Order: sequence, then structure tokens, then C-alpha cells
Amino acid sequence: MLTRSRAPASSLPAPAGVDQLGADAIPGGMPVHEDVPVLTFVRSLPGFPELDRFLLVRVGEDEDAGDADPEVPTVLYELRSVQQPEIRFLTAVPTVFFPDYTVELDDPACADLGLDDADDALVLVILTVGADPEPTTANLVAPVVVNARTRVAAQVILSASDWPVRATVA
Amino acid sequence: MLVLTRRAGESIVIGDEVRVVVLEVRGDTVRLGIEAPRSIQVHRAEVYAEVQAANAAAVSRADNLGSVAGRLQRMARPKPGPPPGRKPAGREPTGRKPAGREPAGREPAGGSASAADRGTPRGPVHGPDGEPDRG
Repeated sequence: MLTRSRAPASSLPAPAGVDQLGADAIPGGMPVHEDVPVLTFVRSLPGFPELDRFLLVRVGEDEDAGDADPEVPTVLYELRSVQQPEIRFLTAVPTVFFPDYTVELDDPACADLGLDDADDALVLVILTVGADPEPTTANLVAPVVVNARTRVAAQVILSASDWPVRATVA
Repeated sequence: MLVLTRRAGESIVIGDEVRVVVLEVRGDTVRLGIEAPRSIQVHRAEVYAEVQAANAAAVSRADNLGSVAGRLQRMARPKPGPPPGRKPAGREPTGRKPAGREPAGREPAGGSASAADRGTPRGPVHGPDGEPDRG
């Protein structure tokens, strides 16, 4: 088993019974690697009823790095709806941009995700790409938490926190 | 809309599984306790609406995604120095607890709480551009 520090969900072997779509199956412009995991959300994303399955696509290693270095952590992922491929969210690993950001999951949320080991959790924040000159912002109050072992995911609303819904990234 | 009058300590039930208790009434503030199965999400309406709106705004358009992604990636790239990521790099000590960001009134973290905190991949990834604005 790979360590979580450098091998987020998309490089884990597919658990039995989990759909695996090849790059050929995915239309769209972003660079796509061979194996693209499919996340199953325990409930649909707020505002997008009925969308509960998303591809987790790594974004951008190819752009300025030439050959992707598998040991350089991926920073950006795209969530692409399986049911409606035109629905896509750009997400980021938050610690890169918000070093003091932490997510505390309560017990029901952990149970929803089947998480009992923090090392299984991949936390992503949804970015809103601002049309220049507006800034790009990250939703810190409702991160997407993925159980990297089972590829079960949820957008968790951290009601008890005071993280902003629009934190400026760049 | 069904309208009911309740006093502190009294409750209402919704279906078989949801119970709402009036815990306290003070001035124009009412504290409610809600018991509901896990499958039923309970949120403050304005928070949920805000997340809905944020999600709607976040749906990406393909045209500018590439350039923004490239910019963010460069922000995230470590400064020149030791080669990045050659070992399980930058991994913070395990057992680290989130500190200093404990909002008031939060439930104490149980055994499995804060599971996600340490779960993000940590690499040699500190943006060169200073503190991000948390808006």
C-alpha cells in the first residue's frame, strides 16, 4: 500500500467493484492520466441534486513539468460529473494554499464516509475560478472529503466552524 | 405552513425519526435541539444556501481553466532549493492536533473526529507568495 503523503486517491489501486474508466472515456481538455478514479458521493452536492458520481481527474502536471513526477504531490484535481460531464469543479489540496486550514469531522461524518483512519482521508476544497480581475476563491466551509481507500466522498458542511465560503486563493 | 406554539423544554416530532426540542428562549433567540437520523442533514438555512450558491458559482467553464490551473500550480511549486518530494517529504509529525483554530462552541473532537485533518497529502508545498488571504 502506498503512503498517503504522496499517493492520493487517484494512484491507489482500484478496490474490487469500483468503476474504473480509462482516459479514452473522458472527453474534455484537461490532461488525463491512465486511471481515473470514480468517486461515489454519499449524497449529492448541495445545488446539484442527483449528481453523486464524479471522476477525480488530476490536473496539470503535464503543463510545465514535462514528464510528471509521481513523487510531486498533485495540487489540483477536477471533479467531473459522470452523469453530466459538463458539470466540472476545480478543486485543490487546501494545505498548499491555506497552511493553517484544518478540517474536523464529527462522528456522523466519519461514519458516512467509513473513515476511521485519518490517513485514508483526502481533503479537497472547491475553487471558484474568478474571471479576471476577480480573484479565485476556495470554499473552506464545505470541503470535499474523500475516503481514498473506498472512494466514497461527501461535501461536508462544517457548520460549527467559521471558515469562509469564499477565501481568496489568487 | 403549520404553526405550533411551544415552550422551552417542549418538542415536536417530524415523521417517525425527527424530533425538535425547544431548549431555551431568550429575547429574540431560540435554541433548538434536533435529533435526526444520520441520513438527514441538518444545517442552518443560510449556511446551506451559501454552499449551494458557492457550488453553482464554482462550476468550471473550460475556457479559462487551463491558465488558472497553471497559475495555481506555479504558486504551489516549492521554491528552488533541495529537490522536492524525494521522500515522504514534508509530512508533519503524526499526532499533530489542530490548534488555534478552534471556533467557539464546537463539539469536542471525538476519537474519529478531525480524521481529515491530517489526511491531506503534505508535500514540500508552501506557496512562495506569502500568506493567502482567508477572506
